Amino acid sequence: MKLTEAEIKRVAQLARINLSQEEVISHGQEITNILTWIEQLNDIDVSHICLTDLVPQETMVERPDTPSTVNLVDSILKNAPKSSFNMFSVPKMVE
Amino acid sequence: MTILTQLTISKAKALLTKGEISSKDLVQAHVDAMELKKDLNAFLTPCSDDALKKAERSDTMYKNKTARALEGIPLAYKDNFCTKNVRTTCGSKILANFVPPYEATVTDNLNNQGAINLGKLNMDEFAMGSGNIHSAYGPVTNPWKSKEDPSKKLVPGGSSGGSAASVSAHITMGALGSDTGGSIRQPASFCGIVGIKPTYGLCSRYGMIAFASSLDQAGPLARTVEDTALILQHMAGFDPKDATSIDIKIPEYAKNINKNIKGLKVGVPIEYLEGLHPDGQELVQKGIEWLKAEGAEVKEISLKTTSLALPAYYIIAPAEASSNLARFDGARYGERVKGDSLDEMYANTREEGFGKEVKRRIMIGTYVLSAGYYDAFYTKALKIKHLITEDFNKAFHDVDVLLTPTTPTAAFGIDEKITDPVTMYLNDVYTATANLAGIPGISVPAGLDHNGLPLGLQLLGPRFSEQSLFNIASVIEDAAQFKGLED
Repeated sequence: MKLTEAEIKRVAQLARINLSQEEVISHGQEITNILTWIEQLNDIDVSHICLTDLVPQETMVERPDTPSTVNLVDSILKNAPKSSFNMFSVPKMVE
Repeated sequence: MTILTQLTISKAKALLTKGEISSKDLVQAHVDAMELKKDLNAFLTPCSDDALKKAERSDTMYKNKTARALEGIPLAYKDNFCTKNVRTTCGSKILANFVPPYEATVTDNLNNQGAINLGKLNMDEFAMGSGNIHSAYGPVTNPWKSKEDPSKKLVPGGSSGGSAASVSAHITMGALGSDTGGSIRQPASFCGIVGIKPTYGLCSRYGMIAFASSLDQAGPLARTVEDTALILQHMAGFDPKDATSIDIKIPEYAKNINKNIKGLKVGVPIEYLEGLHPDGQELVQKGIEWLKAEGAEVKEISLKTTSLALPAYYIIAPAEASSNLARFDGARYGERVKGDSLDEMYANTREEGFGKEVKRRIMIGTYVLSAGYYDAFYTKALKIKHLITEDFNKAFHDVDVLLTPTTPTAAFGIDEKITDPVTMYLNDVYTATANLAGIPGISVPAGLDHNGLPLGLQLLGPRFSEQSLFNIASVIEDAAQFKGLED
């Protein structure tokens, strides 16, 4: 399975990662090799397995729905690259 | 005279209780070792001053007879565990200055038992790697040297490379690691120490920076089976903050170690021996003899899905990673690289902040989850995972545990520059199966290869069989008489 340059650029765009032209080529080659290696799974018949078989058998434990009040604003915003008015600050999203 | 850095945890605990040594001296000795062995690059953020202060408090606890289970014992934590007010980078540039406002449950559990954190340990970026060569802060060096070329720097394995190297080099008495496809067991094998990946759900994942959530599991590394058991019993346990945490009573693994394995049925999967290096073959044979000598019944079995595990793993793990790592966008924490728009800021930040291996895995994950490919790759891989689990379940109807090599080879050179990712991924060929099946696996050092480098044997058991694994690993430990590095 060979990935084209356009496909690599599309995947990088979906993943929000800028790639240089050189990286497009090197990642393209490496990812193609990995997907080719993965293709060996195509020969395995899994038609007898239903999607419902894949649901974990363990019962997930639920937490009690107890309200609590904690003010972590300051400690959380300490890690923010940029904040203002007790909020995260990011570039403008709408015109 | 007692050399403090040579003590095991259980021995140190006994001496501390009797007042024959102090925690302050014990911690100081390890802080000195950390300084002396700085060239291993095992630590990213040392916590020496804080550790020494805590050691004084521990000494008071011993005097007052209020010492807890791991009181005053110096450990160190892999840098993917969030530690409150202590920088946590996950080996990545994107989290270079991240200081978590909260503590991971497993480290919290250990701290609450009096363990002292010496610092945060180097690792492959976001736990993606098998050689600790993918850390943004430089590679970790294995303290072991090959006979053939002692000047050659070797990898400690990965991704918990800092954990394994620091324990092996006597800088810390035990360490925390995480294992998504072999990241505890493979470095434990490469560095000649013990490491266990517990059953999925035994240890809380809360506060452990997620790589592949359905496969990630925290676990300990130490120089003896007993110490590894001791750390695990105090870090494990139900946590309401992790929806996949399992509510079972955690046994006193260390105290309960029982070396009577008479009648135990051990399976050796033939698929794990195909193409194995003669050094590994020989070691597995020795392992079989050691277990037989203690009364175990050993037989060959077949796990036909073995070869499917790694390809399935390299769909599931990158797919989950691409979702988990979407949060690192420069908006709320971590590094930010400016952009004119929000999208540009995301893309610039992730371009600068992530290393090559992380970018590659994110892109593979994004690809296999994208429209048109989801069923062909991701759904298929989940079904293969189901087949692998069934294969193990079937095997455990027939035998109690499985004995396998941990890794195909011993540690390789840092400069060997394995450029083909698939070749590098094959390091995890014997370990990734346990993550996919959610079962526990332990690596115990059992011998040396032709170059004088450590090799481990792996034991795999059904879910929640940790006690059996510790029992059998102890038998191998006694029989192998493996000599770790001198201090």
